[in-house]
Amino acid sequence: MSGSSPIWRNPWAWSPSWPTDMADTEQIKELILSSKRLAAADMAAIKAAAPLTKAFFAETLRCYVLHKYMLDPAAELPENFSALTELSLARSMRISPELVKEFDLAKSCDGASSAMAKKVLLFMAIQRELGIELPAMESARLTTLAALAELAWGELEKSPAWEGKLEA
Amino acid sequence: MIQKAADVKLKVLPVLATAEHLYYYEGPCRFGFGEALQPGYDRLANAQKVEQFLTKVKECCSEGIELMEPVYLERTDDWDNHEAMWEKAAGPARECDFAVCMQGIACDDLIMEFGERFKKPIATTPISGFSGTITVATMKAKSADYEAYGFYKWEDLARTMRTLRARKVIQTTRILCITRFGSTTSYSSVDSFNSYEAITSKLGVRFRFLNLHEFFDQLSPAVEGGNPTTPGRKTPDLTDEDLKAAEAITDELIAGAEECAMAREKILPSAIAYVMIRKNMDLKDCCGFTMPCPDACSTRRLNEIGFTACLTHSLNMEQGIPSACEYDVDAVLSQQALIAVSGKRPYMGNTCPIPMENGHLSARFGTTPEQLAKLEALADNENLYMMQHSVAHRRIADPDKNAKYAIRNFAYDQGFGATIRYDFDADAGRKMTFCRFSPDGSKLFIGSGEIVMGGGYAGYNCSQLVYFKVKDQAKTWKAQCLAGNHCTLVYGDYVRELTDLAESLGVEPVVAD
Repeated sequence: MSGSSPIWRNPWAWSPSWPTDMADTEQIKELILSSKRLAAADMAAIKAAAPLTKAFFAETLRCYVLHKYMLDPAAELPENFSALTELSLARSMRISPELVKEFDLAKSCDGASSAMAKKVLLFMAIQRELGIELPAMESARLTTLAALAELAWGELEKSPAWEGKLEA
Repeated sequence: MIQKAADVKLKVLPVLATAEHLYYYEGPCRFGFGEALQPGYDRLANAQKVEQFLTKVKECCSEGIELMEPVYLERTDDWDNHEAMWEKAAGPARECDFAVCMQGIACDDLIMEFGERFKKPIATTPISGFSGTITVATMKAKSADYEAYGFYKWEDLARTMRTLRARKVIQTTRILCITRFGSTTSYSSVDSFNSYEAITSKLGVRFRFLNLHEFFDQLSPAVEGGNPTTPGRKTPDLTDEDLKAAEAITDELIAGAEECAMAREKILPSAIAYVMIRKNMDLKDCCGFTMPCPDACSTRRLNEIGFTACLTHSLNMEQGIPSACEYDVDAVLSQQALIAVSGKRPYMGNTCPIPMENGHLSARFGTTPEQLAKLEALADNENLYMMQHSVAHRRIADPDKNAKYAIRNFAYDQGFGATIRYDFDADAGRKMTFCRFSPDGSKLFIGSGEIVMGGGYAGYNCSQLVYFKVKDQAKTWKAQCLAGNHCTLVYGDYVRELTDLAESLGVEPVVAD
């Protein structure tokens, strides 16, 4: 870990050319670990909120997704979910092809794309973390992160595990 | 009801075959790591694929293509295949015209079974990747009766759906044939279809007949005791409403004409005939029309009533309803083919080359020395053709907007028989496509050209014509000789679309160039 690295000071200070300049594998590792830590913190905040409000959930879930996508929530980003996924994939590819291997391998041999696999793995993580099951076809039609939050919130409301924990 | 070509919808059924792994394992059909191997991953991943597939198929749908609610053929790695799934699919499968299938590994057999059970044309799409050929090849090997398509590009799916819609237009065409003698040919169009039974069997087209004299009797109000040809029967004779409709059409035609050479009372009988023909088409659920010229003319009743069918054909054609002179059912269907592939409004007529012989263009029926002199002055006049009949109309150039027109009489001496005159001069340089089925329906002659000039706008009778140049006059004529005289045209280049349509009908396309 390099404390003097500008990446470490602000790991989300993206610029289009930035990832290609990252020769330091330590920096890459730190970025990945940092994104995981931040995403985990977001999810922990959702679970700890008492009561959990819809607005807080939507905002924190957005941060969770963007951190998992290694994107800066404070940056100007596209609204479209698919565009965000593609952007994340492209940036990950520039940092290290190893980062997208997971999605490539999950494509299977029947026509799925890396972006589709990345989305599905994100949904799997959300389902696991929140103890819900997202409706499949609705999840496939999501176009924004706000819509994802809306869909997940609806499932939280139906879940006995979340009963009494959500804002009335 | 008159179902126009524009009303015909191709019902497309998305058939979604998916497989879901129920357990964690890896092997030759399962790969990935982490959560991608967990139960539940396929449920979400399949949904993503389905959504992508439906989005792509929707993008391929053009006007006239109706996308139905999808049918799901779902299985797990238990290799289940329950009858309940097929029972659920049966209703939509029966209703559809074309099944567009999404399948991947371990689902090809489901698509094949769908095709075998319901015997509808099926297609695999680019989303299936290498799987695309599996079902298609297997089905074709099982029986030539199975219609299966494999698309590796989405644009090919889009094109084929347009073709299949056009094919459905042809297959659902019902033609009202007003006949005097035999129901197959009239005395002036012996090159029309020589066997309606064969055409029905091959193309699905149906023919409904009405006796000419019975129809003529209907052109006046009902009389006590029934019409002379059908005493005691109720017949759809001219009513006050019919007359009002005919009068309104007459007034509208006169008001909109750049020039009208006919008195209102001379136009009215032709408008009445139009209204009554449409009434009979509606009663017999027909979307196409023809009646004889010489056979009808010699009854002397056209003269007695004071009309010709020219106006009916013009008004039908400008509304996208095929309608041909001289009891030429072949020309009716040729028009329908052009309407189906183009959505445009056809024109039809006697079609032949204007040959250059001994340094001069030879005269043909309808040509004038002035017109030929004008054509001879052109630099490129070696490959001229003409199409001639007084059934031009207002929407040849634009199906949604009336062009300027004139009204002149067909009969020189007595001044009856309303015809619409259209100025083809205004369209010089425009591309056009023309066609005609062979008399046995086994071939479709397809030609193309470019409008050169018109003729007969200021004339009377059957002198209205359009001159156009083709790529090769001799080759075009040779190909046309396999089809016959009355060709029909629309503006634009539809050679490829007509070729596709012919092939999908099992008809040999004979392309002139």
